[in-house]
Amino acid sequence: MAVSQETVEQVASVSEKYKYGFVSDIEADTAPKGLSEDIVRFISAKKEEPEWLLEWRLKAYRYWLTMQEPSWAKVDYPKIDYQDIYYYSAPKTKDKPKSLDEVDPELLEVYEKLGIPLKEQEVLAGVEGAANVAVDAVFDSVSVATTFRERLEKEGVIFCPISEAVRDHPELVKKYLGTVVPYTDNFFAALNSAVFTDGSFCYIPKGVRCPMELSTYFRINAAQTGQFERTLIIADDASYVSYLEGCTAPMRDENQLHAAVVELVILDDAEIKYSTVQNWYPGDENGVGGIYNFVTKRAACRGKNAKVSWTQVETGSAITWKYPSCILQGENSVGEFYSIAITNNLQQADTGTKMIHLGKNTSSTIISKGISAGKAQSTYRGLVRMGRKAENARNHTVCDSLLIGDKCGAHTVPYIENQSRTAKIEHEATTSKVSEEQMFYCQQRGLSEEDSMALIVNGFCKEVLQELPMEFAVEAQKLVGISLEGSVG
Amino acid sequence: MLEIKDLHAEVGGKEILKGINLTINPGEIHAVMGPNGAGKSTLSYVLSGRDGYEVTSGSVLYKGEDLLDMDPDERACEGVFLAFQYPVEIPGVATATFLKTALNAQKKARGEEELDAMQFLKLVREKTAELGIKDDMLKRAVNVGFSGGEKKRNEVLQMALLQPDLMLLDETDSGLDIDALKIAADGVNRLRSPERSALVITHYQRLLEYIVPDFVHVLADGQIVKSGDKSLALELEEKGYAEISAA
Amino acid sequence: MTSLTPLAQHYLDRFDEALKSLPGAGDRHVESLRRQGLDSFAALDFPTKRIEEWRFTNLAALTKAAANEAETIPAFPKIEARFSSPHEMVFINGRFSAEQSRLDDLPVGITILPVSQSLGQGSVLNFDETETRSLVSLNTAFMQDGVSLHVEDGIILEEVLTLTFRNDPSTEHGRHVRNLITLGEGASITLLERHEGTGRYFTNPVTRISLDRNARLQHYKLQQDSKAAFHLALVDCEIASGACYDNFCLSIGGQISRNEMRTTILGEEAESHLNGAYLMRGHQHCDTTTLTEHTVPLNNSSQIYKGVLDDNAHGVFQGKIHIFPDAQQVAGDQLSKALLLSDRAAVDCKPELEIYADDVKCSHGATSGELDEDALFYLQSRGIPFEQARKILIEAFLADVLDTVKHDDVRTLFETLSTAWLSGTQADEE
Repeated sequence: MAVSQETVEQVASVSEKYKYGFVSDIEADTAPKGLSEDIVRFISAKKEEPEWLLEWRLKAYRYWLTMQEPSWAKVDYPKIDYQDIYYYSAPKTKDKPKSLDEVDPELLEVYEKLGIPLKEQEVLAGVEGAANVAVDAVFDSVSVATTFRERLEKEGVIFCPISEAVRDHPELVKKYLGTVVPYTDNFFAALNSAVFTDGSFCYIPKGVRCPMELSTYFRINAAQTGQFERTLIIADDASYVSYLEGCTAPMRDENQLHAAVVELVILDDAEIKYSTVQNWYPGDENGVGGIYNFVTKRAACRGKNAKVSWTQVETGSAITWKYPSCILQGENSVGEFYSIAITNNLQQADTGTKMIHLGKNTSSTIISKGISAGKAQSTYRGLVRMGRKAENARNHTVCDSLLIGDKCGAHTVPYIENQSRTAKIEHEATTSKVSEEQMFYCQQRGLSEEDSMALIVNGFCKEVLQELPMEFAVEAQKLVGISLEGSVG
Repeated sequence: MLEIKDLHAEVGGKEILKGINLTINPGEIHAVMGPNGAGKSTLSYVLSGRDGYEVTSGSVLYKGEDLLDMDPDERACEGVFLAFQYPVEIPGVATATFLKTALNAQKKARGEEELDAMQFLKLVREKTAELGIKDDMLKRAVNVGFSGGEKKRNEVLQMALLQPDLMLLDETDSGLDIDALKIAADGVNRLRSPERSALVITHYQRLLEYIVPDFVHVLADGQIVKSGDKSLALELEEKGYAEISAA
Repeated sequence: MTSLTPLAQHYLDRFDEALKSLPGAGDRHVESLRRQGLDSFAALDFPTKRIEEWRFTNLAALTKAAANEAETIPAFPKIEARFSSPHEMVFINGRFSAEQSRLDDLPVGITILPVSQSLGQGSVLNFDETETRSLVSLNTAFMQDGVSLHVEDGIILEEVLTLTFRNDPSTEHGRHVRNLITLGEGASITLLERHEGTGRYFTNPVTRISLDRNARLQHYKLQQDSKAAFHLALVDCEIASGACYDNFCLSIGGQISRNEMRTTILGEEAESHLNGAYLMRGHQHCDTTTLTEHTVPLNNSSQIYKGVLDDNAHGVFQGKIHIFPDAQQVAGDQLSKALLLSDRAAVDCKPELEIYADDVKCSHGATSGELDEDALFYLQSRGIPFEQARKILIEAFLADVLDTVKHDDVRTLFETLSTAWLSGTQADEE
């Protein structure tokens, strides 16, 4: 769905600081600080998990103990004390809510402030021609309410918190969990496997085109709480789903850790479109506070003609470490990565993708737009690998960086590895700044300096913005403007 | 409308304008002609407020207010419009989006009701029809991949839409064939009214056949060396700048 | 600490003995520098793929093998291309050969000496505490000889000055040449550096270049080492304002070869141009690693590298443009293209930008793929046989990068060699 350019105007009208910076006061059920086998057992017991999952968590934990925190990314942050973090914090509710009415009103109020379209009417209101959206809200690690369950169930779509899926659909979870991102994959994936508290699970059965866009809002609330969600989406043969993920976190002085894992499995002729708008709290102008976001996202196109599309708008977090990847195994499978990463003040982002071509006629597209302002550092890091059997594989990469101000940095680190004679790889990258001519031209037509900047930057990002579903695109365009506040003049 | 008094300005430390005096009353069209390097473009940039064009002395009053004190966008919202000699490309921003954003920014500044998408589309279609501009230009990114003629037409379209009070035309004729020139001139002439003024900057007399000025000034080495009516333009064409400037 | 590779251990073991026959023996200053180099090397060992800059090049074939160069490797025919230059300095197995060198006709203002004869003069050999490249440290410890060249202010040499490094199998392991090239203000010179040889050997030339204001150096390199050779070269070049460094490297030889170049632009209006072509077949591996540093505003750099890879050959290009804070109005361009002619050939590429100034224009492009099938068919449909059509297209692929060689005679030499390579003159014996 293309973004209407009309919505750009909204960018101009927004002039607010981080508007999600409030702390809601809901009594949390919290495990003691620190990480140990006991904590892992505690989490597993809290979630009433079967033995096999506990065993898997413990294996992950033991493996994690042997690992080193990675240091290759171009991000600089004080050492994280993993024993100084709460690994479990659940909102306290007497019983599991049966419907939205039973959900803590204060919680609902939080969502309202966030502007989450939790209620059906709100979702539908005002968004012309938009599909319905089902929301699985993750509030400090535990899914609170899931809307649209019935309608989805009719189609056979399973969309629920992963903890529920473990209980109700253990065969699916067991079959796929950890098969795309094994716990041995990396330091943060191992940590997540050991302590993940919740996340979304989604299964689209054969031949089903999911009737609405599925959405999860992540939000970090309790102080010093790490958030470790785990998302698993399986698109069975010839199915389709569009999944939206939005993230916000309240303002806090301490840095909070977020280490999520997202696994996508795409079978024959199926397609997953995964969109993210991430505006975790980025810290203040002096770099105090903000989220450390270390995320592992990977899609496995296992079937022939499988397709996955990652679209991300990353404007938040103090540190972003994120490389949504595609393993293109099935013949003719397609991977896409569209990314906007905006860093301002003292933010640091090291983000990109990996396209691993294994099968014949696989193709991938990478479009990355990095914007640095203030004293921020933004790095695109990407890998395109053509395996020996990737006959006629194709990749096209465009990777553009825009610098605003002379104190920031923009870096491009692409790895291109080709072992296939018949593969074709094209990579192009540019780095430039918003020209003084462009700014003056817009201002001469009456736009203020900040609006001119927002307009030009939105133009720079257009190829990515138009990949977003409508309701996200509007928010994303606004975010572009907000994120760059204070970067001009 | 516009009162320029002893205006001195420099670019990169080099004095380009060396004492310009010029008064434009409502409804008047003034042409400023001059050889390359006389300071013609500098004058238009100083009036529109571009960075790097430093006014060292003198004053410019616009509608009785100090123009030099305003930011470029404030000047635009007050009705000063510069038709650029080299319109700027802005990749990814559709022309329609750009026009609507600009129009609503100006309306907002003037406390007028902003246009919604439908109202805007109706208005812009009227203007493109009047000016003989194809609608597909609206969908393309601002000036990106436009021919020289298309860029100038886009400037005229913007002018028609924004309805400025003071039009500054910086070498609008450069790079235009005769048909495009007529379209550009037609756009300006449509806007002619007793309240609206224009400053037409040009090297050649050609444009002035289509936009007939009330006054013609010769700019040489940063100063207006001669003023007259439209016949001065013809005289210039005949004798060349050197002779007129020396006279 | 893990144990050293067998080859590193070999070097350590024979250092004291080797010292006696190396230039500067008995000179305490030189020996102390060499010992610092050795200590640094011992701490680092040979680079492995765990080091980011070496992630695509595995030196195990060199470092794990017992250090025996004398084993007989059948010589293979090398591409003969005549190139006459009135001035030539020749090194045999890393040591200056007065008999084969012709340096008498050089004009006044150009001082060229073998390093072995100029060690006492200034900083030909130096040791930098911060050096992390173990190959430089190894070179410092075992440096045998090299070129010490100084061109005085305003001196311009039109003819090509050839530096030839010829290698034959010998009992001594490694050829560690250290070159120091300095050009005075406004000086201009064209160098052709040739590497050739037979048998299995390891060569590790380290070249330091310094260009004073408005100097111009055209530095051409022909790497035609034996196909059993390990060629690991490093060039560091500092460029002052208005100066221009123009480098082109044609790599044909070597079992494993690497050209690592670091240019540092220190002044306005300075230029750094690094270009090259690599033609590889059999099991050859060729690595080009560059770093261009823009430390000040208002200058530009460019890089174009093209590779043709056949059989099991492996090409690597790692190029980095680094723009320092406040180095405004800098332009940096980089292009890497590789052509894979075989199903078993591979290429790895990492074109990197690290930018800390906003008013810059930088770009890089990288492509990799096979010959254009349509073009091939088109030529065939006009009656051109497949092999010839293929050759025409590969020549066309290489044409624009070879065009960056400004010196006519050198360009002709490189074109001749490329064409000969395509005809399979240097056929793989395996």
